[in-house]
Amino acid sequence: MNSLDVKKALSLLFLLVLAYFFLVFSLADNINEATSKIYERRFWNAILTSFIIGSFMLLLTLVMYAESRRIRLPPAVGMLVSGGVGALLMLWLLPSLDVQLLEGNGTPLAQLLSNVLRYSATLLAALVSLIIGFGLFYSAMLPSKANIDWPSHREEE
Amino acid sequence: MASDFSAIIFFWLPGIALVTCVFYSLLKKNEVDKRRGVIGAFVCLILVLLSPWTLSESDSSAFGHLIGVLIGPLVLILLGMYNIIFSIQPGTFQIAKDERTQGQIMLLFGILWLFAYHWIGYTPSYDGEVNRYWIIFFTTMLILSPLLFFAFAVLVSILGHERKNVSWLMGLIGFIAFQVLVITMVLDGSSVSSLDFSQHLAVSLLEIIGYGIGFLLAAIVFSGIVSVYEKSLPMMAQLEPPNQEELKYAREVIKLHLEGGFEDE
Repeated sequence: MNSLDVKKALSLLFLLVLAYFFLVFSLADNINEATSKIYERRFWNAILTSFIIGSFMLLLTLVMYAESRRIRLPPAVGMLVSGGVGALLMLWLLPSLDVQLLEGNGTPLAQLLSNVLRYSATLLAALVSLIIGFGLFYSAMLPSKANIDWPSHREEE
Repeated sequence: MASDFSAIIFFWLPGIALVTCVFYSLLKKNEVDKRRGVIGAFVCLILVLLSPWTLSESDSSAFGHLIGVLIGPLVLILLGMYNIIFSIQPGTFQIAKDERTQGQIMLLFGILWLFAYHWIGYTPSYDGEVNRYWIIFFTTMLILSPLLFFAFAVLVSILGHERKNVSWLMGLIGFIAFQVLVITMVLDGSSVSSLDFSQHLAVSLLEIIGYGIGFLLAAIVFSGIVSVYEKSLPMMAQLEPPNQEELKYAREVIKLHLEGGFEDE
């Protein structure tokens, strides 16, 4: 395995993800005026929710980074501001700019909490897929039957 | 307002504490701390699971309901995976075949249980309609699973050595998983029509892409902040190069090491 192989693999992986998403979306969608509004709202809600949660998760990393560098809190404050800006954008600016993010929830806060739960459900599904995927992959990489040519460590001793 | 307060007490606080306890137990090295984390997580999980009863008027409790209906299949899947992965004796190539077979059966039943929710019946329903978080969970799992197997197939075929059979197997499993995804768009489920399900699939796909973009943006901001602070750090004090006396001392030490050390050794 050399660096060229790794680059080739990553490029192919990127193309695969793009092609797969395009294929699934073209099979699944039935775009009309009503659904396109739903798609737009969900897409923007997803970006903002992920940005806010991602910022707060990375904030914890930055606190540890700041401790290790003995530069106290400024980086963490930076990330906190970043997450806060995302939350403000979602709660106040985008709804006021007529980018419709509310979906049947009475208030922006209710929408934010609903988004966090949707995010959690997606994360849970991704986790289950990863467990099944890695488990089956690992299982496939193991020898399918006991190899008697390979003595165990106990036998060697 | 009372409902909001109840939601905080009965769902959000236990939910946040659950995640905190899980991380606490994973990060702590002390056994007592680990045990405290596990016990805390268990108590919080119970509170989240009880939310459909303690918080029946709130939408948030639908997520607690989802966790409840997923416990059965997830325990089977996790136990199955555990048995498959640890069926090989550590440090040997000896496989406990019974454990592996049991693991495969448990995994299969766990996955079939999830499919049964969609096609056969007992679709997780909450408050008179299909639980919306169940639909998000199921559609996301259906979308991501084939992609993961295809990705493994591609990576193994390029980076693996004499692993063509693994690559083909991963590709085959990915193909089967993709067929299941397509079938959900064609066949009606027990509570959700194929047309509605297709629309949910499209929404979930857009959400997955959105989550990816959002996290990427956060990571860009994060790396930007780190690089700005790294550049602002003062340079470390540069040491003077060694003088002749220090070089002579170093030569003597190296020579002593090469000759076998000091005489009193």
